[in-house]
Amino acid sequence: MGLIARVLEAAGISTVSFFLLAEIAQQLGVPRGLSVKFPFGHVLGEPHNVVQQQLLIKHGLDLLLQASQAGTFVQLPYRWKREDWAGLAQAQQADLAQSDAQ
Amino acid sequence: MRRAFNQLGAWLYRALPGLGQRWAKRFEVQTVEAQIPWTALHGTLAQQRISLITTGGVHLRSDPAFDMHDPHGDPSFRLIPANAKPSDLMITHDYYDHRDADRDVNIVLPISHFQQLAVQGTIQHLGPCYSFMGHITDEHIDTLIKQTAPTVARNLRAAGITAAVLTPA
Repeated sequence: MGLIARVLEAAGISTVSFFLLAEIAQQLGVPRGLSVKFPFGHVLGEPHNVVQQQLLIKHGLDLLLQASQAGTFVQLPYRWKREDWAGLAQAQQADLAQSDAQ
Repeated sequence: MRRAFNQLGAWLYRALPGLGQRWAKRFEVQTVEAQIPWTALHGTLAQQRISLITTGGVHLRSDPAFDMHDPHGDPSFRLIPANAKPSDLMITHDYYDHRDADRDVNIVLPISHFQQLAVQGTIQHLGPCYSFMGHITDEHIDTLIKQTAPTVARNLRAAGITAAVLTPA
């Protein structure tokens, strides 16, 4: 998938790529990448866990907007099925409000 | 028989996430001979025309499935219209356990979320989305890099897409 990101980016489209295996992505070299240590087939989390999926997407869009150089990579710290997603989403909103205020 | 074996492997990787990390350490990564390409993003999020790309083997129910009999994978792609409903979609991919993604495709292709972001005006537009099948090896990697991925790139450019969000299986 990193290969596809590289082709799109070279063609003039900004990309942000999610990964389950940070090592592979970083060895390959992707323009903007972020990883979660979740099982295969679950890169955005659990089925119908809307809050969790939205939070991960928000991380991806933030990276899309904020990365300023090729190879920017973020390893998200979240643990599979061991996080309080509603609480994390609230914290993310609070961070956003704070950065908007500044 | 091969398909049953692959499906068993997919189930094992799902049941034992540590296996995936060990598998990654042995994985032979395509070497990078050039520097990482870069296209700066212009404007705010609300000005972006975004497409989604997945390697999860997602396709319209009405489209042909990905080829599961070629041991080197299938380097082709399937178009997923921006207004597709999850119930229009299915997954053909024996190399990962997609039972959860069958219940909610958004965990491998977040199409409902991005449809909503477009309606809310958080992004300007959700454009045509595409799915590949991961697990492509040997000569099919060349087909992917030189033919099918560039075709998708041209289609996205023609649709005025500024950014793409990529998600794996």
